[in-house]
Amino acid sequence: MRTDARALPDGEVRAADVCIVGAGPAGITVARDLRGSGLSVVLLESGGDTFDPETQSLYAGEVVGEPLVYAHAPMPLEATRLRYLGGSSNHWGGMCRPLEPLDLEPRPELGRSGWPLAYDELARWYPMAMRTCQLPGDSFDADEWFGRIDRTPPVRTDAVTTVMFQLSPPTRFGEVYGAELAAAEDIELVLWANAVDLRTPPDGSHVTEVVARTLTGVELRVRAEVVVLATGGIEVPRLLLASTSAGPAGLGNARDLVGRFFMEHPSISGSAIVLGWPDPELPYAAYGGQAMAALAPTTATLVAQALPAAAATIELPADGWEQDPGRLGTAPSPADVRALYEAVASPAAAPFARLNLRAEQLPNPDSRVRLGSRTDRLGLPVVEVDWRLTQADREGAARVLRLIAAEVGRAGAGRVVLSRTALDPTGMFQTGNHHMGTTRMDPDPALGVVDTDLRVHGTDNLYVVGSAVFPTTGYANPTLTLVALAHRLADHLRSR
Amino acid sequence: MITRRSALRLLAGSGLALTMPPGCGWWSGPGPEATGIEAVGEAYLTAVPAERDEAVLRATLGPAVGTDPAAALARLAPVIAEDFAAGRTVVLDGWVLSLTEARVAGLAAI
Repeated sequence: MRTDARALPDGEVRAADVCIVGAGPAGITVARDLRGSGLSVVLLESGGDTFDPETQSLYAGEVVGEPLVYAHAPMPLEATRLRYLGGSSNHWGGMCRPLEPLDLEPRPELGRSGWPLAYDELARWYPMAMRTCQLPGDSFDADEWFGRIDRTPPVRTDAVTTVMFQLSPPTRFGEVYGAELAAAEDIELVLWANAVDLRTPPDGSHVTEVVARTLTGVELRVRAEVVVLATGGIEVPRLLLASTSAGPAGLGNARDLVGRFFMEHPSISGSAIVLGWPDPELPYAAYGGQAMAALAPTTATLVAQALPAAAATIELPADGWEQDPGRLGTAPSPADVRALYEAVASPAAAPFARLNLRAEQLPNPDSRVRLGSRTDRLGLPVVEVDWRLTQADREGAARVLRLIAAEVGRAGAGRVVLSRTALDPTGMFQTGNHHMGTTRMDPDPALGVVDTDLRVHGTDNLYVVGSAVFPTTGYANPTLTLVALAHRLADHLRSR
Repeated sequence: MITRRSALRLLAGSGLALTMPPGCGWWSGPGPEATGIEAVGEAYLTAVPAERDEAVLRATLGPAVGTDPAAALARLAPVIAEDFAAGRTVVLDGWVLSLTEARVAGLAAI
């Protein structure tokens, strides 16, 4: 069932077993999995079916730390996510890969790392998440993907190997699953409803009401046995910090952890790889296919050299190099790359591509999302995103890229020319619009905001799902993992 | 296919370009030219000034170096592979090259 909140009478009250805030990949996945469970669901979505500038502007905020650079331009905060049915899946590139077992392991050399889940407990939900994300295959094995085209992976040494991302179509969750939600008798999808407060008794132990408002002035209250926040790594802490029924610090924030440990995927773009393959085609090097290849240090190398997880995708821009060489910013131009390689090594038609490194960021409590002093049109404080990169983050990413470059040569696969950021990592890093870590998972309330069931510590009915709960991030794009966690949470709620 | 001359034109406006004095250069082509390999080689020679000497570089590289850099690199491929395996790499103008490749480029820049 679909409801337009703007058409409801002001002060309307809904009752449900589960109220999910946010109809992006995580929220939609939980809602779908609860169909037929006997639980009634209200799914609140801020926007409608398509982009609306007024609604989108509710994402506005301040970037007070490192700039959030995407495609070589600092991004305003409201441009880093999308606020309508399907959420940020509406601008998702579709890259999917599970986290590695090492990503969940404590690595003391990297600070507060590790997940409180065994890898198998996460991994068992990946097959379901892969179906939800409409992935084309069952395997992420590079040999299998290259074997399909009678090739071998371009690089495999004891230090660096070829890994594969599968590409979702990409699934636009609103378009793909919206009709199913609308047809479900036990789900009420409420559009144009912006959650602005989580009401609790003074001890903050139980969310009694979710208060939502429309931009037209209608207030809706949802009373539910269980509340699930699925609004992403910035809006989840925003709503928790702004919900002050139990005290000015916000909900679930007794230890001043909400909003801290904000992590992105610090990325170094602009490097190039010239491959010594026998023909100029680059398999798995473009969006729009079924998979993309990347180069990543082996687990043994990461451990031995205390490196952050990172991988460099090999990418051909859809519009080709020559049309816009300036897009590489400070990097050598594609013409430079081709000409120089011709001069050095002479393969006349050597294939070359962009080499984009994406690294994990080490958990850092000073990197955070907090409330600013201004409020939006609905009276909700806007956020300040204070993204901090440490020297260790910068050096770690650059070291991985330099390692990959040397191993490409060692493998006889080609040569790499590094961007200036790779050589001098004091400059601006790119981001992936991946907002993670702000309500990190830990069974100890002193160390995390949610427990291993994703329930907010100190509450008995409030849950968070999404990349906000990631304690560490690995290098993989977060969508597949957050969808896996959504399936896992739905399973928990069904048996709750 | 991009020819060497068109490559030189492309390089002319880039930060990698390096104009060589008239009459100098290891390339067999005519006149002063700016090339990628020479820029890389100059970067190497700047980093290792003790090797800014053709005789020193030729002695280090051995007879396989010959007179043509592309052919030299092909002949020296096993040595280059050994360089990478042993971690003997250098970063010049962003390029991650084997030490032997860098020396060949250095010879091109003299």
